[in-house]
Amino acid sequence: MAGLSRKKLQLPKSVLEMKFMKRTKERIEKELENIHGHEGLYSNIITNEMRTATGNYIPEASFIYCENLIDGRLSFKGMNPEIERLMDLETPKEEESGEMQKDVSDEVLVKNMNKFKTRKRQSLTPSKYNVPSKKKK
Amino acid sequence: MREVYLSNCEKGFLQKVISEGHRLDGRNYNESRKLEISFGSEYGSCIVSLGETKVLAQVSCEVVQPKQIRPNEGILYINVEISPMAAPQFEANRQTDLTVYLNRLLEKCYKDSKCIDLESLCIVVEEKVWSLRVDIKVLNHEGNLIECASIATLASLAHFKRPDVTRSGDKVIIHTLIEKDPIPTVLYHYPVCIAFAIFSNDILVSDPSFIEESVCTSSSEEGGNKGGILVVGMNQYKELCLLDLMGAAIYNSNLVHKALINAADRCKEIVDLVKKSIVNNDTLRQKRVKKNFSDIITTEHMLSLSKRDLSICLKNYNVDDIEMSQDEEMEDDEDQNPEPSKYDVVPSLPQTAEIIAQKGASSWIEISSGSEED
Amino acid sequence: MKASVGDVVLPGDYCEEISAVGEKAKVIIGPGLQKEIDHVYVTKAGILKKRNPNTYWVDNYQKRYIPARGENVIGVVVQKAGDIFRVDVGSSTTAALSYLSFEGATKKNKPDVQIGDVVYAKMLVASKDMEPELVCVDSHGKKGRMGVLSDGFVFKCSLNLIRKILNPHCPLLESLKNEWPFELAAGMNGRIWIKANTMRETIALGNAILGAEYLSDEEIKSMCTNIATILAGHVS
Repeated sequence: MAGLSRKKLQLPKSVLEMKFMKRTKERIEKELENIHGHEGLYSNIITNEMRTATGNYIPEASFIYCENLIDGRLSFKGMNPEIERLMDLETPKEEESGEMQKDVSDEVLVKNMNKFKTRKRQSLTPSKYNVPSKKKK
Repeated sequence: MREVYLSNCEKGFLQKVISEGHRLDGRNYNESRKLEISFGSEYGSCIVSLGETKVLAQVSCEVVQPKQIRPNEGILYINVEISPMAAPQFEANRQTDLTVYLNRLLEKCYKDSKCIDLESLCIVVEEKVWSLRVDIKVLNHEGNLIECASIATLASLAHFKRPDVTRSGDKVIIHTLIEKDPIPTVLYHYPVCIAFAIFSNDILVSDPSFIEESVCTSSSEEGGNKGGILVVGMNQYKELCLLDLMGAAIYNSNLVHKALINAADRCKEIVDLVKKSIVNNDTLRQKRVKKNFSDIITTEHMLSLSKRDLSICLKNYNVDDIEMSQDEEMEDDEDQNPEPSKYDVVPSLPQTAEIIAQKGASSWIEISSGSEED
Repeated sequence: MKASVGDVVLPGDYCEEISAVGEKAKVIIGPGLQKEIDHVYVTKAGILKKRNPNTYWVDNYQKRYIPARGENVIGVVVQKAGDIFRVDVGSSTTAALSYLSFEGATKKNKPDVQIGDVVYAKMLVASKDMEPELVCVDSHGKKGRMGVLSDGFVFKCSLNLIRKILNPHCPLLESLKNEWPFELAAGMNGRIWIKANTMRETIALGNAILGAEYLSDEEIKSMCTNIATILAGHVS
C-alpha cells in the first residue's frame, strides 16, 4: 500500500503552496499519516510472505474434481426411468463434444477426397490417362 | 456414546431377508461366522476373531490381600474396554451401557459359575493371594461382542500361567518364569456365552452381525415383542451357567428351549477349538517356536488384521473362485516359510527377526518379540 | 521430508514440485495437502497423486467421512427440528437439511420426509467450524438426482471403495449394468444405497460392490460374471 501511494502521481509542492489549495494539502497530509499509522499498527502481523503471496493455490476439499468421478446416482435397465433419462442427457453431451467436429469420419473424408481428386484429374487430363485408371479399378 | 442411526430401509430389507429364510451375509440361521483364536507371545494373551469382530484379551496377575469374607480364595477381575477403534460411535475412556452389560455377563459367566479354582490361587491365608485380571479390549465391533469376548476370556484364562511360588517359613519367593516353570490356571469347566438374535417372534439367528443385532433390538424397543437378544452361557458338559433374555425371548419359552439345544452343540465346538488351539500353542512353545500376533497379519491389503468377509454376500459366493492364481501364490508363501522354523530350534532373537521379515510383516513386530523369550 | 508425485507420503512431508509450479501458474491442491507459508505440506498418509492440469492430491485410505463442499452424500434423517431436518451422514456431527431445500417446497407445502428416511443430498456448507448443511436441489431449483431414496438397502463401506466404483475407468458398473436391472446411489461419505427388483438381486449387487474393493480390474470382471451365473442358476 505504501509503495503504491508513493508511486501515485503527486501534485507539485509549488501548487500545494498556493492559497486555494490549502484544503487539498491538508487532506493529502492526513492520508499520508493514515498510511504510516496503519503500517505501524499491523507491522507485527503482516509478514513479508504475506506481501509476496500469490493467489495461485486453490484448495479443493473434495476428491470428485481431483479424480474426475462420475455422479453417484445411477440406474440401469429401466429400474428408475427418471434417473436414466438424466443419465442419457449427460452422456451424449460428452460424446458430442468429442465428435461434433467430425460429422464426416476421417475414412469417409479420405475416400471422398480421393474420388474428388480423381474426378478432377479426369476432367483436366486427356483421355489416355483415363484408361489405365479404369483398368486398376 | 453417540447413537447409531438405523434407516427404515435397512430395517425393512433385513427383516424381509430374514423372513424369507436367508441372511444378509449368506449364512444359514444357525451358522456362525468363522472363529479364529491366536495367541500372543506372552501367557494369557490372545486375539479372538469371530468374522470381522475382534477382541484382544490379556490376563495378568498380582499378589494382593484377600477379601475378608473369603480369606483363602484368590480374586478374579474382568474389565471390558471399548475404544473408538472398535466403532466410531464409542468414545475413548468412557463407560457405555454396552461395556457395563458385557462386564456383568462375563462376571456372571466366569465368576459365578465357579469355573476357576480360586482356592488354588491362595499363597498365605488371610495375607496373600493371586489376583487374576482379565482385560478385554474390543478391536473391532461387527456384532456379537458377547460371544467373541467370552471366548477370548476363556481362551486367555486357559492359556495363562502364573509364576510359581515357594514358601519357606515366613518368606514367600515368587520365581521368574526362567527359574521355575509357571503354573497353569485350574479350570473345572469351560463356560462360553452364545448369543442369538430373535426375529419376528420365532426365528432364532445365531451369531448375529452388527446390523442384525441393531435391527432386532430396535424392533423390540419400538413396542411389540418381535425381536430381541438371547444370551446363553453353557459349558462343555451342556450345563447352563447363564441366561440373559431381552425382548421376545422373555415371553417365549419354546424359543429359549430351542436356543439351549443349539447352544449346547455350539459350546462343545468352541470349547474343543479352544482346547485344541491351546494344546497346539503349548507344543509349539515347547519346541521354542516363536508364536505371536504377527502371524495373523495379512499383507494382501491395507487393513492388515481384517479378512475378506463380506457383510453382504450371496449364499454360494466364494471369494476364491475369482482369484485362484493369487491365492495359490499366497498359500505357497505360507507353506514355505513356517517350515524351517517348525523343525529348527530357533536359538536367538536375531534369527527370529529374519524369519518374520521373510513373511513380509512390518518391522515393528521385532519390538514385541523382544519380550517374548521366556 | 521432500516428496514427489507417486511417493508414499506422511503428514509433515512437503512437495517442492507443487511450490515450483505454484510460482508460475494456478495449482489445485486437493485433499491431504495444505499450503503453508513456505511449502505445500502433506496432512494425510497416502500416495501423492497428480492430474493435469496442475491438480495434486493425496490418495489415502479412510473410513470416516469429513464433509467437503459439493459432494453428494447419503444420510439418514434422525430428527425434525423446527424447519430443518437433522441428517446423519457419518461425520462428527449431524448435518442440517432445510425443508425448503427440496424441489417445489414452500412454507405451506412441506416435503414428505420421515425420520429414518434415507436422502441423497449435496453438501452446501462444509466448514470445520460450522454444522454442515445439505440441499436436495441444484442451483436451478430442480431436484435432479437428489431426494429421498425409498426401499432398497443401505450399507457402509470405505471412502476408497466409493471413489473406486465412481471412477470412470472402473469396470464394475460397466460389467454389472447389463446383467439385471438395478439402481444405486453412492454417497462420498462411504454409504451406498442399492435397489433391485428382488431380494437376491439386491444382495448380489451389494456383494459385487463390496467384493470389488481389493480386486484388480480383470478380477472385478470375472467376479461380476461369477455373481451373474450364481444369480441366474438360482432364480427359478
